[in-house]
Amino acid sequence: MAEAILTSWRFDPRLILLLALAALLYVRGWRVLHRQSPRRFTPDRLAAYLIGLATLFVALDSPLDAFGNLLLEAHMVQHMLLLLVAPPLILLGQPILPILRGLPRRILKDGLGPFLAWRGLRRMGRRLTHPAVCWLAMTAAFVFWHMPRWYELALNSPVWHGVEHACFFYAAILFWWPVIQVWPSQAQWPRWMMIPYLILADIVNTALSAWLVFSTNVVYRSYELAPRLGGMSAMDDQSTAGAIMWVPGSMVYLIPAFLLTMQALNGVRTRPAAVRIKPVASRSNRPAWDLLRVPALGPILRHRHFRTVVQSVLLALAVAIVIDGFFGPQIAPLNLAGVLPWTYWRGFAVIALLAGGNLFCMACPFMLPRNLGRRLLPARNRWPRMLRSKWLAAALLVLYLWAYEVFRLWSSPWWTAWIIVGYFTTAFVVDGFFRGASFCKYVCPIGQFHFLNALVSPLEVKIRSSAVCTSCRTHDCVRGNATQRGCELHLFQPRKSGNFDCTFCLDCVHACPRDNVGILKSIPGSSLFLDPASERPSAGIGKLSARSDAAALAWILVFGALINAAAMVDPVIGWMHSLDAALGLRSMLPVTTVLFLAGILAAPLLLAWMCGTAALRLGRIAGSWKRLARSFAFALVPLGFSMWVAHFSYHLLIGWRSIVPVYDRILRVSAPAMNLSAPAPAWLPAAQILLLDGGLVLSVYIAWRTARRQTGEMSRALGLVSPWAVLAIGIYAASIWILFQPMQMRGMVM
Amino acid sequence: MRRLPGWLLLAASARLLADGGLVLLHQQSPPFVITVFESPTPPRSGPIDLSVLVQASETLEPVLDADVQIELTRDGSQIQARATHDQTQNKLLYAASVDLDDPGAWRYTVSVQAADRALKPIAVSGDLAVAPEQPKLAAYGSYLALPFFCLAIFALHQWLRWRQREIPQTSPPR
Repeated sequence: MAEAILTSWRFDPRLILLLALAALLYVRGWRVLHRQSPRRFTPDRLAAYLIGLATLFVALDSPLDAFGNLLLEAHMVQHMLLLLVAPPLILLGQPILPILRGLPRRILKDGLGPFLAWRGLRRMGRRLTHPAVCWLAMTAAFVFWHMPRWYELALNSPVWHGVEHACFFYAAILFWWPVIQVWPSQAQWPRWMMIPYLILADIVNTALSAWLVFSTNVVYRSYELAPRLGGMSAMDDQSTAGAIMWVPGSMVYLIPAFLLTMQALNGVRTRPAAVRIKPVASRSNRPAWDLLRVPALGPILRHRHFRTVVQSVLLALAVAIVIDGFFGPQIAPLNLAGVLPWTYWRGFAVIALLAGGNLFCMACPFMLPRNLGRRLLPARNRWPRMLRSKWLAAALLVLYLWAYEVFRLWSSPWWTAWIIVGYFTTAFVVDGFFRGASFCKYVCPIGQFHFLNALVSPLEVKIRSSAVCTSCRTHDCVRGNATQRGCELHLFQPRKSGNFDCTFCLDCVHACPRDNVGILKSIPGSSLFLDPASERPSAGIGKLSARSDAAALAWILVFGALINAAAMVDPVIGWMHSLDAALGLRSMLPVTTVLFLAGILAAPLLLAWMCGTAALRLGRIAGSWKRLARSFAFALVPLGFSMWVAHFSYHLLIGWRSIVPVYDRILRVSAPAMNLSAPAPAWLPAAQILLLDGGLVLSVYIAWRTARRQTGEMSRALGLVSPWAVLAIGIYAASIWILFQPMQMRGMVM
Repeated sequence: MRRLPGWLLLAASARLLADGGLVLLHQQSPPFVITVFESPTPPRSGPIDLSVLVQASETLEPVLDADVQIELTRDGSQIQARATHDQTQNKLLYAASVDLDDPGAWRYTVSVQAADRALKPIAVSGDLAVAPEQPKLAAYGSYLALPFFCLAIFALHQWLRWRQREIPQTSPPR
């Protein structure tokens, strides 16, 4: 039994992450401050803070919590830790300055700076930490939550139990604040006043304890109904809990009161001496984190043949898909062509975009036929001037999304194989006759999907130091040299911004003689909000916000995310069938086509016009709605991308075992496993919503930055951004609605 | 800040173990005393945790090596699950998570078989009223409110920045 009790820990990852973050920030800041002011930021303070956090963990995740609903005494110990142990220990660490110093400089200065300088917040903080307020807060929380009605509410509801614990902890932080006098706040009462402050709190504690100890009946009914462990009656349990509250609780109040009394009698000055904290040197010169400099992984990625190897693997898979698609059974769940592209590849590709960058283009299997075409065919012509834009690729993207719905590509291995063959042929012919990477830049719809969505990725191929490039005269990154070609998409690294048109081919990395190009971390979406402001267009792509073709691509991909997912949910499928029946059509083709074109072309056009016109009026600026539609189209990219990720990762998670039937079939297992879809994990809807939350916040932020660049005046910027923010919220609401509907598992046997 | 999505995703994936919940039934069935807990409260269609505490009726010591089976029936549909210590935070309990898609009155039966299998299994039964599933908007309300909360903080941040830039220009010279 003892073992069972001792192993009853929860290890809630949310709490662990939160506490680890709090510890990390404190330790980071404390190390700096300890060097500057070793007398104030002593190891004792560090130890107190960390023990305080550990106490919080014990209170919330240990067996105390597991047994809290069976034993009042366990619950009482938990409350004592939350009220009387963890908060004073944390405050003894004097945490304000170390935590602020532990934050990344940018967050501290740009993020928290305006709040820290806000007089209203300081005033509020001063009122909140007034000893009278602090004492009342603690007493109110303590008494209120021990009243039977509210105590029972907390026992019977995990949500209210959490609220109760939060009330205890934060009220206790307030209570101990003036006692410990957290620096840099200033004392609002004389120090000796803390003695009656503590004694009065102890009187309340004593009264409540006595009520529990001397009560003639069980105060909290749940403990009367709960099974008794080890033969202890509910009354005995209650008396023990009261004694725990009374004796150790009183000691926690009275010992500091005694120490303060001694200090007052001895005339000890407790006012801390002023401490000057030296400013920390700027870290702006520190090189950004670079994937190519990660031990083990970096050298592999940089290896000259790395890309060829991964491309060969994907090429082999593509060939296998084509063969199986043409010659295998035309049942999607049993065919490689029905499973690999539609369940796995799409899911992994968007997750790679979210977590890294355009890794699919890095491993693109079409690269090898492109190279073959260049060897076998002349490859001397320049791509026609009239086609040097994204319009062709955008049209192909619309065509592909339409064909996906109309021809049910996910359920047709034969069609899937033909698409891949068509892709290989096009790549071979285009790059066989035209110079550069014309196929990637102007034709490939998959590439455009990745180029645009990689603008939200956290990694970017870019220069490590601009100073190195300033003295460069050869520009090998774009021109190439005797041993290595330069960027085929004409992206000049020193002026490149964002991942648009970047295939992560690493040609520039290999070509740079000074090893000045890496895969660096960047702020997701930063190139989107910096683009309208940049006076100098980004190399190779110009200014995105001035390009109608790129903006059209953005609109198509944002609304494509909605249409692609909406076409799989039951209500939308029901409406389409109803419309089809009402019109008396024999085929779904006309209805699907009309609804698809309305959703992916007409709706964005109409909404762009409406928002652009409204923004011109509300923002009181001159110009055309088209210009605004171009600029603000990119603000919606994060939202559209989050919908693609939420949708494709859903299919990947549900169907992660869908390769098994294909595997069984190929190995000639007599009865291939068919129903292998996994139930949706309980956390998946929350994770999908969090993805969309992130997309919405980033989209509105980019829209705001775009608006601020258009006009310096606050009210006009607000007017300018409002229609786009409303549109973003509308897209978010539509995405949520789609995710909440039952979704078809296309290409899978359910 | 850049790590935030990762943190949030991990936070969302937290698997909360059953920790008892509300007492549904407490019954002496020698040689055991069996207590059944249900969570969430009230139970709603969807995943429901049923936890069982088995005690020796003479000593009230928890019995930790029993075989506990839970069966739920309603209108011909039947769900069976084996309750184990792995699915609960409180390792004195046995718990099982069952998916009850249909709201309404379910009948549950908990069978407890002693480890030595010397006696016949002891079974206790009761009714479980399952409420309809919580509307998704309410179930995920906090997640849906999150971006608007973030945007409100950001709006305040921008207003403060603007005000802090404006005030020095408008304040009278000293």
